[in-house]
Amino acid sequence: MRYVLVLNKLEIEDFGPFKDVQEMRFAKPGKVCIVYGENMRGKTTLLNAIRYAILGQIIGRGFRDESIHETGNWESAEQGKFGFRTTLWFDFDGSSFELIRGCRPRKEVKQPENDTDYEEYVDIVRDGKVLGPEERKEALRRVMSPETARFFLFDAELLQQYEELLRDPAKMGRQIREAIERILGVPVLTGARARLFDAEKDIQQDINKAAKKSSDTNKLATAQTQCFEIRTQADKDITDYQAKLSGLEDHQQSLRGHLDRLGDVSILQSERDSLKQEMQHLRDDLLLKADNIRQLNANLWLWVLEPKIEYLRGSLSAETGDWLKHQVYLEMNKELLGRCREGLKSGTCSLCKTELSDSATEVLKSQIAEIELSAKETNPEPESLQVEQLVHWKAATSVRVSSQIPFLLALLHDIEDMRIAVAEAEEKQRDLDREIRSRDRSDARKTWSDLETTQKEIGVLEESLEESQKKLSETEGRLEEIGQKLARIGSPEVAFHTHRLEACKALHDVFNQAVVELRDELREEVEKDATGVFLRLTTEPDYGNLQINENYGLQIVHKDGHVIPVRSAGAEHIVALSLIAALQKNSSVSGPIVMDSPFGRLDSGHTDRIMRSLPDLADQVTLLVYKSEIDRDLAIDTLRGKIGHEYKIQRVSARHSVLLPLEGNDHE
Amino acid sequence: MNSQESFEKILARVRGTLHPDVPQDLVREILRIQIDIPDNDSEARRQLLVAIDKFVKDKGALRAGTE
Repeated sequence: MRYVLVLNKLEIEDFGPFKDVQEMRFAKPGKVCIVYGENMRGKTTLLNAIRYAILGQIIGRGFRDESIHETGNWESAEQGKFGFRTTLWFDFDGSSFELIRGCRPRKEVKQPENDTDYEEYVDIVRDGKVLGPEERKEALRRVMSPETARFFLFDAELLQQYEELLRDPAKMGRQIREAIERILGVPVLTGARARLFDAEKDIQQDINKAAKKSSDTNKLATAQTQCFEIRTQADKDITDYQAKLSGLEDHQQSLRGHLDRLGDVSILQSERDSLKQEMQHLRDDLLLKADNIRQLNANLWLWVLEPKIEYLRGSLSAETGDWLKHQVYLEMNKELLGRCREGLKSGTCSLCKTELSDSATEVLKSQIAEIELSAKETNPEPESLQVEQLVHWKAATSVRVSSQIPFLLALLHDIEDMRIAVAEAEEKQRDLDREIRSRDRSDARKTWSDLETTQKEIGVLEESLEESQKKLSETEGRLEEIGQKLARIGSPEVAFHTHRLEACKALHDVFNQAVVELRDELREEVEKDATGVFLRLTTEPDYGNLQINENYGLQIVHKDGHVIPVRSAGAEHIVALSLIAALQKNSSVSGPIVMDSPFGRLDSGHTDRIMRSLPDLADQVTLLVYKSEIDRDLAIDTLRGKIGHEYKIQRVSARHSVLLPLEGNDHE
Repeated sequence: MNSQESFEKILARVRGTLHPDVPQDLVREILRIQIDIPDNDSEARRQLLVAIDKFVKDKGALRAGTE
């Protein structure tokens, strides 16, 4: 059975840019929650809020702890409201938890200025019951440790760290190796082994005390005591050296990370350049739309006159209609008159050409007289100029200005949106400029020099450590000899303690062997599972499998069995994700994954494959992404039916962001 | 790993490497101490020594009984 950790809801108050109280619901197991947000809007802060809720840690760039004072919302602080709070609702091992954690100014502090002016508070409610301090500590320890959290909550920076480790396993960080073993459950055996080792020392002391009671063994006991002293000193030295080494290795890692980021300044510059271009396009478009509005405004005054014009148009239609009827009448008469006159002149019908009788000739004469009379009685023909003006007015008033109002409003709306976009882009550009300025060259020089000094110190410490380990080994050998002699000639009491020592050593051997076997087995499992995930994620059909080494480093193996020596950044990214997925699968805790900007350096093919595999990487997945990393429509299409919740981080100001839920057809 | 299942899984693994002189019950007890008391070193070590002493005494009594 594995423990299952399911996150339900997060509520944050004044945490970073998230002013006042805001909430976010996680997707149910098997589904994915996506949070969209542009850079510097608060995605990493959201990841930190989840991390802080569980572990009480806020990690900044270069894995440095962030300041509590700086984490509180600035706008709220300006209004006299200091500190922040997170509340996380989750299920673990069949119980429901509400975990409240926050920082507030100490009672005596009115205007906090640094971290020491704050106090932290933690409350846990399990199944409706508030836990006491000890229960609280135990519950938190069981849910997640800082070491294992790195496999549940991670950002691109941490993913990159894995990639470096996987590329160069010799430099695999001690912390990460230990964290991998912790998540896999190795510490239960290594812990028991270490305690048995300590128990051996206790029993040796018992033997020494018993040996000192007899003159036969007193001399040996004295030599044994001296060895104990040497061993204690060597142990202490080794512990000290290892602690210093660990600190220096962490410092070295942090310096390397810092240098990497300094190298990334060109990326920031390129981001700023494209931002400038984008702003220019926006401004050009803005001018064009403003011109369109000016043109529409030129005729807008007609809107006021439109009812009157409509009335006039009606009159014009009537007048021009009468005139047209008259014209037709005149034309008809003209034609008829012509034909009658032609008939009289030729004495035949103009249509059938038969000869006209006298009576027919008389009818024609009377008809001609009637038409000529009618033409004299009708209204005089309108002036041709007047008619032209009538037609022109009718055409000019045919376009209704009121029908153009919706276009005008849409244009005004567009312009408003574009002005906001320009303002946001300008602010983003200012942020980028600040960031670029902060990464100056003198910083790089100083960091390189610091790194060189640190590497030298590590070298010296490693030599000292080796020396102490050698001394310890020699002393252990000497103690073994003394122990054997004492066993042969010692008193019954010494013999009894010697039996205890033998039992303890036998147990130690058992656990030692078990640790080796467990590690081997776990490595096999991790290799198998990581390979399965890797083959689903990679777009390269010739890759055969992944191969794990002693330090959990992974290499890509071609189908023909050869190790791939050079890997692309995308491939390394995929390998790191595969390791994380495999560790998740083999962990004693089945937990959620929260990934911040994980697709930044991947092509669309890899991104698509990862998106499709997300629901299988962990039981519960939360993605924090920016727009150019993954488009929302694409995410919905790729994860059809598998999206639980979607949110957008919307900017209100540089110090205030809002978490907005997005509507979706298949959302929970 | 804290669950009974995980415990048994580890025990099965340790059992596979058992020393002929180390009984399963003793291994089980050492594991229980490690799992139940992960953070209190002195108490864990005290309990561990009690378990070993009991094993040695029982073994001695058994040996005396068979002799």
